[in-house]
Amino acid sequence: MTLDLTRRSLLKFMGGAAVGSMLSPLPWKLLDDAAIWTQNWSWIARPPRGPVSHKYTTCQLCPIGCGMRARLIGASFVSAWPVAGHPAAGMLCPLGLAAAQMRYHPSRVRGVARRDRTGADPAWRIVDADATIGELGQRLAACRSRGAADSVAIVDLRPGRSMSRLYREFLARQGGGLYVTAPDGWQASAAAFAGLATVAALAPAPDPARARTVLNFGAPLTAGWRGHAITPHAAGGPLLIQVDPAASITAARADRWLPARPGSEAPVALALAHVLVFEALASDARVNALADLPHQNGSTLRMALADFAPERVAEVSGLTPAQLRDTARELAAGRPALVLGVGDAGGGPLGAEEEAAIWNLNLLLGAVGPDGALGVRPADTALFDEPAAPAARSLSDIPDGSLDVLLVDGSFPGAPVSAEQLRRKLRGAGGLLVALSPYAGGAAGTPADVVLPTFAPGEWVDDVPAPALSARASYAWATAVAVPAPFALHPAEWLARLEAASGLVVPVEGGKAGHEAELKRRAGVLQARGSGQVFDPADGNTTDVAAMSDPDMLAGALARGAHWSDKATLTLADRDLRPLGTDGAMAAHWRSLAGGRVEAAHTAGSAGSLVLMAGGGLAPTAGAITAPVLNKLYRESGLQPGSRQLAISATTALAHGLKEGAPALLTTPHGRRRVRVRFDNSLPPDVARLAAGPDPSDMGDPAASPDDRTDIPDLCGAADRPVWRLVRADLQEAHDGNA
Amino acid sequence: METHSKATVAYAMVIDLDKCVGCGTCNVACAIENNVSVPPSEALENRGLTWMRTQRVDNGKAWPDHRTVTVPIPCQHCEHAPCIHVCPVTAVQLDESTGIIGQIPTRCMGCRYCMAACPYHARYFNWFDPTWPEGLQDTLNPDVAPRMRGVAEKCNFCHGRLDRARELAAAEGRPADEPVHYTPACAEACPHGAITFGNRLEEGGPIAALEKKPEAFLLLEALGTAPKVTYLSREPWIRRIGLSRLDRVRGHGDGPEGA
Amino acid sequence: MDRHLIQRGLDRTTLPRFLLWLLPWLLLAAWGGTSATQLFRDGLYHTNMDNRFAFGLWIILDLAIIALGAGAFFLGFMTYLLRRHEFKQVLNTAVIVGFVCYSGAIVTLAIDVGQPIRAWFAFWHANVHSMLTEVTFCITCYLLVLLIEYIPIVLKNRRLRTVPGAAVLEFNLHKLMVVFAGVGAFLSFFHQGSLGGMFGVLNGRPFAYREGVGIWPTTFFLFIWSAISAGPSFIMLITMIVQAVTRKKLVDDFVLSRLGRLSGILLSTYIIAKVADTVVWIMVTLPGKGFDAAEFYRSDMFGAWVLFLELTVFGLLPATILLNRRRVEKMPWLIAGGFLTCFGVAFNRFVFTLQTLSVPTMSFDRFMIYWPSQQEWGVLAGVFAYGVILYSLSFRYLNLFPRERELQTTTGGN
Repeated sequence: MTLDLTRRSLLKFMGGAAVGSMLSPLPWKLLDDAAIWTQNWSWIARPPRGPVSHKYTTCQLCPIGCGMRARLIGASFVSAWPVAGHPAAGMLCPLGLAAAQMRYHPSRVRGVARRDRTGADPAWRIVDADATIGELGQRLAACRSRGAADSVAIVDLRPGRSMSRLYREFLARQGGGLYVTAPDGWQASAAAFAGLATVAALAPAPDPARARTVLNFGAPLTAGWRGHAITPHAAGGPLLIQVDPAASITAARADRWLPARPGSEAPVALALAHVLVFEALASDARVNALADLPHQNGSTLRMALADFAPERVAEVSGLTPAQLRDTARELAAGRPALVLGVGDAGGGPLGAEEEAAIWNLNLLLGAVGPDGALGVRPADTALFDEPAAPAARSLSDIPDGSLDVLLVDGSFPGAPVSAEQLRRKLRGAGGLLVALSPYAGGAAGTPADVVLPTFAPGEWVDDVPAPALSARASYAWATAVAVPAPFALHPAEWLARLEAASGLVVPVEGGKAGHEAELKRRAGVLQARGSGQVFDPADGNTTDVAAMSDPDMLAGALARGAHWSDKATLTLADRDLRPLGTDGAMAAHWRSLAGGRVEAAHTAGSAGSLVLMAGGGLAPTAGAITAPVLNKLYRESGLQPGSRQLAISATTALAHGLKEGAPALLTTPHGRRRVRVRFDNSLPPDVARLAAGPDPSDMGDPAASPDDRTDIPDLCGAADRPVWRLVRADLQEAHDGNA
Repeated sequence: METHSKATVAYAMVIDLDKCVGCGTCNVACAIENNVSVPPSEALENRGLTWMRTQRVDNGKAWPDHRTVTVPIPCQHCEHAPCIHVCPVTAVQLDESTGIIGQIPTRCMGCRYCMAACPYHARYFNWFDPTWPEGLQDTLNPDVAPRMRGVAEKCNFCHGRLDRARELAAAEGRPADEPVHYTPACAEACPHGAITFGNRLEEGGPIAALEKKPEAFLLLEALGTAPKVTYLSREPWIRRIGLSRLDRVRGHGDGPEGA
Repeated sequence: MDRHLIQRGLDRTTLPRFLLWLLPWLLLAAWGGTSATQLFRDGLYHTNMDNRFAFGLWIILDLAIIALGAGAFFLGFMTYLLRRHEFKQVLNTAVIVGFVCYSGAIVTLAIDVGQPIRAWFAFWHANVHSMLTEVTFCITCYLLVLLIEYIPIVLKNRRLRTVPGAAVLEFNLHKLMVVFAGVGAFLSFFHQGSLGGMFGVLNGRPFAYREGVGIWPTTFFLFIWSAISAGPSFIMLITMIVQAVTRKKLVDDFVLSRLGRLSGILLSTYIIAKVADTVVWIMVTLPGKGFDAAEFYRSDMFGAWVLFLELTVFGLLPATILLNRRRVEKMPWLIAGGFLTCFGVAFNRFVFTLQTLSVPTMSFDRFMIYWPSQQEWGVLAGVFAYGVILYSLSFRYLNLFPRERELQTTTGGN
């Protein structure tokens, strides 16, 4: 038989093979593999692998210091979660939740970075660390040798920490440089309270939980008061009266809403005090004693209040005399009552005059004292016996153009000062601003010429003193939960290197060891004091400090994320109070504010058809660096207003010929800014609001012109005015789509 | 073999709008837990990935009568989900044992038909390659697989957490058909306790009680999608936001007009 | 130069002139190609679609060209199954137009999906409940049918006929054409319906949702109906355009008139059904879902004129024109009627795709609008250019019009 291979038989064979192979697993396996292959891409991010564990720490992204449970996969710090029942706050805000991302922020510097801000190429460059430190050391030595110690300054954006002591000691050894703080709205409010008492180093500790009635001047209480939510009256909370120009969520939730005009806080508070003194509490001997207490210059509170009858304040505040009277009576009848100031802290301090007027309401209502809702606690400086020299100065006290070297502590991603406020203090082009910061951005990095890279939050142990206006004294450590970045150094190490380069002998306990020693010393102080409790976040238990026999026990607990707190223990007698301030000058200040804050604003060169309010974003700090994921709240959902979105009521915007989303140019006496119109009908007519807080959405928006202000505080004139939350502004349509 | 019974677990969520303040914590917690990527900054509101999106809604009135409410909107996990039957590649599935509507990103081919189908706009598309700034992959959650570009994604009631809870239950030797309790990231993170999560079929459980409250309402109930996310508010005007637009304008539903 | 490729007896222009004619279309195709490359490489963020406008220009394009391409299956059905042989004069054109439309739609879809490499999951992980699955299966199969119908036309090429076996294959395929026409009609019928069903089943989108008839929503039948009304008109218009461009008489006028009248008859019945459907939707469907139709027609972009336009200018008006025996004999009327019919079906697909997505569902949703990006237009232009080029090549080298030789009276054209 011959094998006859024809074309037909070949075709038949191929056809049969095809059909047959369909019955085999081969083609199906190939398809399946192809399906799996199309589902795996090499560039899809791979999460870390490893055992899951948790560490407890304290959030250090804002002053409140909420408890934080860090989730670790192997050694990777992957996420942060709230600690239920934590005394500081049993919650985390979006900033804290995203804390794990802060270590990998795109603006983190990976070496000593420097830039020539005036040159053709202002980009950051990584430079030689030793050479830079050497140069800075020589500058310090030069200042020291010519006796110009006040041309060196350190800005400590969060005073009261162990690092704060190290900064002061560093300056003292340099011959007494300037130790500068920049109080935020909360700290300014506390300072205003301290200015009404003759006792030094005390801090107010208002506790809304102990009040039956709470009158609140504009603070967004819905987000909580120092970490604690105030439940509405219906849910068993105090009767809440909100003074707020906007129909905000807090105003809507409050039991009463007083829609006072922006800037009328002082007249409103004084009108309420007027009613208390002259009508509601007129027969109270204690109130009369306080009202008639003569001050140095002979003035009394009663005399100062005489000008603030409700009828006179009605016009400036937009409230009726009846509303003011009823509110004062409601406060008097609803004691213990508490009156809270601060307002929207994002817009900077409310003003010393407003705060003093508000604290006076508390004094008149008897809030201070064992039966009241306003406790008094020792200031942290007193608690931990911080050195008094060099004295803490406010940034506004430093003359412009006076500094050769300005070191800015950038341990915190945000600050209540703008880049321009800091840079104005430098001596012309010769001054150097050096940021001790993980980032080439944020409050410290943005204005800097040099960034000395420090650890990011979560990479080192920093201490967290009690936030201003917290109801209790407290102390905790933000512990190290993540592996420190190899290119970063402890800020105390940078100080030691600078000190050595300036020709001084670094003390034995210098650098990181000095910081650790100070942390331990503080634990020892608290243990020796023997008062207060320690909350352990791991098991939720609370231990009395008195039961801790050894300072190391407390230090050990703090290192595991524990939180020490103590009730407000100081008492303040009526004789310690000075309602018009220790110098009695408040009466004159109040008179100057009788027409409200807006009219007092500098309005030269501007028609000022609008009142612009600077408002808070998420955190009460301008220019803050925030985790990339917060973009979800700004760009991707529009939930948080960005600092280029001008909130304004639809009718006011349309009256300016501007539709929703329209590009516009906002002009104040201090600068201009390109914005987009965003309708917000919760605002009264002719009032606009711009968020001063962190704004990740500002990232991609280049300044359209040189006078386009990038910082809202600068737009509002923060460099010239201590109170910049209100300013008159003009709004025009911008014709390009590049706002 | 799977031994769970169909009728004992249906996870559901109740969101109290009187407690929500619009802080966005739930949105961020969700993104962190579920490895939701951050698109580049040119991604505006409609290109983002916000499994839990908080929407501001107002009563349409001018100051001083203006009132605002913030409404967190996750996937509603509808009993009659409009998105399941439309998917051509079976990438959307109802887990009968939990009531959770799951999305399989590795199977999705990105036709976006499900997104067109969803009346709650709770589905999101990866318009961009999901990338993380350098090093940030180290903060990803290993319990949730990152997605790739060109696929749809949405809330799955933190399925990664459910899996962890089941592993824990199994490790403790509890029977596989016993319902497990767990808390999604948004409910854990909400600073104001506005989000309650649980099994609505649990007799005497918190969900069943909250769902029966007179303050309870659903979004677009008349569509018949039967969402498993219920909203609460004592304010009549807020309860009306769940109706279609016209009903709201005419003041149908309970309560006085324009409260 | 390419004379040996051109059918005997057919007069075609010179190769340089032909290439000159192709040039602008090639440029458009290049735009499309560039756009597609960008989209494949970087992802769909180059489009202006977003989470709300999940569908955009491309889906409108797909729906419109598939509806217009319905002439292929419907004329095949009329010719082979109903034995209306006068349509044989335009059948080749119908097959090529159909092929262009369907292949163009598939290419566009491949660009439109986020993971084109997984497109085959529609078969591998098919969800039998999804209208889109039905669409995918039917379109793919029908494209194969169109290809098989196209092959014999190609094989009749003068040069290819010299290849042994080609003629045999062509002959055999031709014998089977009646079978393919039947299969094609069946497949087309289903996917035209499923494309409508895609919208009708969206129970979360009251604007698109329709009551069911049997297991299908009414849009299933309305989409078939409107597609077969517009299909003949589209073939008629294409034929007229080819006659105008080539300045040749290619088919008998009565064929065009019959195509127009066929459209008219179908369109008039479609409009009756569409009106009934709209009334039921407004009176029954929407109130049941808590909505009111007026709500959907309240924006600047989509007013009540949308519905008015669709039912009258694009419905009643062309139907009256094309139903009239005398008017369809007159070319201007025929063109007007045909154009309005074709535009109407595209407008219907536009409304279903875009208005569905732009009207709010939740009370606090905003009305939104969408405008395609440069890349989206590029793909559209590319598909259009591809169609013109393929048709031009086919016209030059194949014999598309059986009566061309007899009817030829003038010269010129390509």
